[in-house]
Amino acid sequence: MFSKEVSLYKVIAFGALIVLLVMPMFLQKAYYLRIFGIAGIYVMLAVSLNFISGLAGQFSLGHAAFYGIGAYTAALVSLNFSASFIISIVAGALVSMIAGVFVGLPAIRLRQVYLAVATLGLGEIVRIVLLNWTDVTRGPMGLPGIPNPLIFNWEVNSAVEYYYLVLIFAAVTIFVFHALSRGKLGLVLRAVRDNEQAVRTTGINTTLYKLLAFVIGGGFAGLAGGLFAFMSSYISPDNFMFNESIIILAMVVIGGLGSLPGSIVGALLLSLAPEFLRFLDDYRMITFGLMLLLMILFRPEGLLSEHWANSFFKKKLSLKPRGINYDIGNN
Amino acid sequence: MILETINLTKIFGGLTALDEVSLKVPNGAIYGLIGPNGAGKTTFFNLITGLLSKSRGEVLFQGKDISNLKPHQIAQNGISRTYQNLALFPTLTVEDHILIATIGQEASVKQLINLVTSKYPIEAEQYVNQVLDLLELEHKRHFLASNLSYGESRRLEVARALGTKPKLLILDEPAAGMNETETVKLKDYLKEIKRWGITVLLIEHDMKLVMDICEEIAVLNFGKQIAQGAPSYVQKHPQVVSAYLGGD
Repeated sequence: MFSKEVSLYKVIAFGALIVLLVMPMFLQKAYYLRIFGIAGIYVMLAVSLNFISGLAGQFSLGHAAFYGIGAYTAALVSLNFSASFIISIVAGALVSMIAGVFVGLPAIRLRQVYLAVATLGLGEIVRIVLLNWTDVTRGPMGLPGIPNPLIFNWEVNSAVEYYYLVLIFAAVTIFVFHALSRGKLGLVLRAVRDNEQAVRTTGINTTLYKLLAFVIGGGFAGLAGGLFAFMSSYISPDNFMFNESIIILAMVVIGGLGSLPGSIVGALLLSLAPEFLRFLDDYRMITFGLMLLLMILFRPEGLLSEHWANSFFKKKLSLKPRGINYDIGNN
Repeated sequence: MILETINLTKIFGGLTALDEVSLKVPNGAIYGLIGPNGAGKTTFFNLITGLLSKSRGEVLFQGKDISNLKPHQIAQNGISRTYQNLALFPTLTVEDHILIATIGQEASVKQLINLVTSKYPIEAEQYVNQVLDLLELEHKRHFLASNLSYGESRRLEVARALGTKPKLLILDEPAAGMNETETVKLKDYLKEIKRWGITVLLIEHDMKLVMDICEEIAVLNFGKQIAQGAPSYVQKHPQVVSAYLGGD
């Protein structure tokens, strides 16, 4: 009667969701919940950068720019127009998408390190603008007093509520990028990464696709930024500096370029590990750095490489009475 | 004429890579382009497929000038090509290569709407089967391109090019590195492709293959077109003989 087959990854994703849903019952301290909230935002950032750099192969050192634009737009819309949480956060995502067009434009002509340097420059431009456009952004003083989100009748207030809010957004982001990367868009982007010229001569306008990767990836990074602004209620240009871009890129690379599960694990690992290594005191960051070094040395393709992810998505779990049976498909 | 070039010229800095080349490729033919290394054959292909922009001249495809179009527009018009040095997608499967080619044939707007789905029209899937069958890649359907043998990779290049349902198929040294048996098979594939109503234009160094299969041949040397005609005519052309064997 149980001869139905289910994808293994769906079972695991469902299990992980259940664990994350009940976790606040055991993690009583607001401190831990807040760390997980931040980790959730990094998951959104890593997954969206993976789309641009891992899938489409467009190296970007400016992901924090989208993050910052989204955060500032959402905060300013909320503070100046008393707009609701949803409207502010959507505005942040939309402006980041527009920024994606401007970052995507050099990507049409530039490749690899040259593109990386160009995106680095654009990231710096955003930071400098945030710092010096004092009439609007208040410069280094930042934007304080961003109100708690009010979603219909739910006022997100406590650490637990923020935890669940981030969980919802991160889950939706993962779902969207999973659908996009498994569909035709993902296929074309991976082909562009492998050999752009050959894609062009099969009749596909690669310019459009690369731009699309930046717009979608940038849009979700902006969404993460808006969420961060509301969660911390205060933002300043310090939150969106170059080192943020590097950390996000490190999450994607450590997890495995082009691998969605990899980006999730990479983001969780890099944002949670420094917190859980606190017992090491002075040796904390040295241990952390050593961990990264060893990981990239022994698994340069990432913890959960794209190749691993592709076969993982094909694994089936058959619910037969005699037990569990893994079938790896024919690849 | 499916393809016609008129005084097509390409100058790189001070070097004239292609000098006033005027070719006429008849509809439905298997047409060969030969010449010693550095004669400008690949440059000629790159000009036709839009990867390089011309210095002078015209490229008429079915009577329409395509020399100012972008590579993807030229492909959508019905010209597709393979590469001399394999240009596959190592991280994608064999099947994916051909599916990508079918995506390019949808109109831009439709392409964007269909992006989120992973479903392909039934005709596209049937066509993929047909192409895989022809090139004997059916059993490798779910293999990554990086795991294919050299001969299989070469065939996949042709399969991907066929995926766009071209009217003109351009092959850059399809037999390079193939053994005798594979070359014989290649001949069969090409004849079958011709039967599908596709015109084939190929660069090849394997003279036996070219003379066997091509109805018409053009010869380039130092960017200049030195002869054009039936294989028997070209073989005896004095300039062709001296280009290949030396002498003056």
